[in-house]
Amino acid sequence: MASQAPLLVPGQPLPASFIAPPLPQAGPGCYEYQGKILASVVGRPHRDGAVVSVIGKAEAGAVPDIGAVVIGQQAHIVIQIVNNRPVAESSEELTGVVRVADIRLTERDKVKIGECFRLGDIVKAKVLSLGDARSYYLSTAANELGVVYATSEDGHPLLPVSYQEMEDPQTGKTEKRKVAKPEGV
Amino acid sequence: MATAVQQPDASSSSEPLAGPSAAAVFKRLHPDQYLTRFLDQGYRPDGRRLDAWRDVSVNVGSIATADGSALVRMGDTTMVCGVKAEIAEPSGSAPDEGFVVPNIDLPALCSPKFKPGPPVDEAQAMSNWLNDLLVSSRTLPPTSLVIAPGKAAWSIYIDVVCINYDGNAYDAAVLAVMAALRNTRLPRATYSDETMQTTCDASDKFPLPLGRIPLACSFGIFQSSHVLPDPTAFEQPLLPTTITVALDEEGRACGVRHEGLGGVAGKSGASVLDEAWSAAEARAKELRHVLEEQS
Amino acid sequence: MTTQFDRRRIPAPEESRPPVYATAESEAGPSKRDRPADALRPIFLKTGLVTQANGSAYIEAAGVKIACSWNNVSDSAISFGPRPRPPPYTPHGTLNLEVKFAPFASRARRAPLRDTEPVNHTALLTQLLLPALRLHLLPKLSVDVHILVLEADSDAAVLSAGLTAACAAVTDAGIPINGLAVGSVVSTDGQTLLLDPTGDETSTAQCTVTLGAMPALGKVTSLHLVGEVDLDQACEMIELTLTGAKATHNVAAQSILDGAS
Repeated sequence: MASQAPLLVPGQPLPASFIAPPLPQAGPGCYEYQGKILASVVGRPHRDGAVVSVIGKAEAGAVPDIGAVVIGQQAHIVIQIVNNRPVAESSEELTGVVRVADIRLTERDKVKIGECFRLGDIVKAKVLSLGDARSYYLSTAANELGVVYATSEDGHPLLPVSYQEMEDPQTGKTEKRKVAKPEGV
Repeated sequence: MATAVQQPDASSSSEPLAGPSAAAVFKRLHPDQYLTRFLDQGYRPDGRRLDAWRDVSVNVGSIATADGSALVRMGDTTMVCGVKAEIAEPSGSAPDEGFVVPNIDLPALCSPKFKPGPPVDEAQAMSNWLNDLLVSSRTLPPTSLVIAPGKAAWSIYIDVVCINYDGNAYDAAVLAVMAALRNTRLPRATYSDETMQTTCDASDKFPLPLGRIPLACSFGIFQSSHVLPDPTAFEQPLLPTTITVALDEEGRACGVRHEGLGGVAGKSGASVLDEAWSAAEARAKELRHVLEEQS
Repeated sequence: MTTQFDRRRIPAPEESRPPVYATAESEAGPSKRDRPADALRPIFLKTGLVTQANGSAYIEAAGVKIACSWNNVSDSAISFGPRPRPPPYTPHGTLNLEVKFAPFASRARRAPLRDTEPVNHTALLTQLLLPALRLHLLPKLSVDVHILVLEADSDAAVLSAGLTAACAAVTDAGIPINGLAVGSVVSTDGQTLLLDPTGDETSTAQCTVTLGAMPALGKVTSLHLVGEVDLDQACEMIELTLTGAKATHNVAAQSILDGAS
């Protein structure tokens, strides 16, 4: 990254060149305070049109928010990945629930959970709401959402063959799942 | 986006959507396959060769409030051991013995795995192993800690606190304890029958009378195929079998522990243990060298 | 005090006392101050030391060594012992702060379970740190900050260094905050004001002020005054703590920048 903007510490005002009038809006990593824009994380400022933001290091663990795409392991879903970034490690698990009506886009009333998810499956889902005290509410009602990785009853990894079936390439048996559409298909 | 996740078994054929994010996602979702791929290439995820140990450093005497202290770094694992000596009345059943109280704590600070509160199970188990090791190898015999039989004796508190938990905490803890014990100086104490009190002379300090100094070396076995020395926090949960060999300065065993059902496919349990033993001999020498350089 | 048998630790004798020295320590006398009354002792602050944690900091200042890590983002985290039910949903984040002393951290050994002091420290430090955080950006999550004191000089020093370390750890984790909060202590023996007093100086002081501040915003996060002092002198003391806070802030900002680049 050439011609780097200076690193800012939290509480430090953004340099004048970034807040030249019209006064931009404060985006992620900064906030407005008494007519000035101050950094709230350690990072470098970045202006994109009418919004300035301070971009810090990406290592910090991610946290889910409404609309975020999460990946987790099926039991009650333990969220592991948010927007393609691992969740901050913790002694407590972030759990999510996919309610029956939110599994498929169509024929919601005919959905049987056992034909959609099994224990240990890795599922990609979208956060519908922050849910209750215990869980996030998730949805897999979209083509690209659903099971992304699963093992068959014999323990082999399954390959997707249709939107509701996966095949064990070693035994040729198929199992039912709510399959996520693989990328690039 | 998540190519690595969707085709975890086809690394060579999958589109090279590398980058730190994809690797981190794959590591989180499929830790066992992640480790397998490294081991197949002859490396560990932290860049070590399969049979390599991590770098070790020892620093003694940095805690001014303790009578002896040591800070040990083993890779990223960091342990601080502080020794405090207090005076207590010997128990009625053993009037000519002092007390040695070793404890290991893995506070919530050192890893997100641990919760705040009393010592976690792992810490309790390690404290017991440490106690067994100190008792069986007579590192600090309680009989040497008496000031006046039945009246006063030293109680040596050995507290190990983990600051950064990156696996193999037991090896690091044992090394920290030994370094801190070697660093400890006690004041000369006298018990007066008239005042019923023990007084110490700050100007006359002596080192602890130490016996054998054991050092521990640990291994984990991955999928019944690889014996990995000095496992990291990432590897540890994937290693169902662990072996620890503790050796003293003459290479005599002070403690050997083998936990978990698995062994290595195609090898007898004895030959696996032999292998671990000889690796431990070399490592213990190395650790002892680091330890002795410090004091 | 009833002592319950603690089966989680290696048993210790019922009672033990720290050694008593025949040659009284008064011989050496309380340590003389070897710096001007308004000078700080050197501060060493480093972020990112605990690689396993999401954010961490280590500080050596004012005779105190403290490691601090910001570990968890967890929903409905259970922090202090079992709770009958998870805390209710909150639209903003919550801060859980834990202060722990290593048993060897002070002159007299701090036996586990008998050490009740951290409870007090925890409450005060939470107040010191809370105003700096922007918790409304973390709905329903809890931020857990763990502070481990490895070596302690005085309570006030633990609080001020603890705040500086805790805030540096939170910053290291990339959690948005209003500004860097740092701690500062001033004590007085009735006449002179001493910035960053030593343990001996605090124990003989008439009044001690511990202050948390965000010098970048010109704001105070919390103020804790122990002892008795005139109002005028109290104001003077607060002025001096702010001067100390500014100096500490510069050091902290520099080490955070060093850690980030």
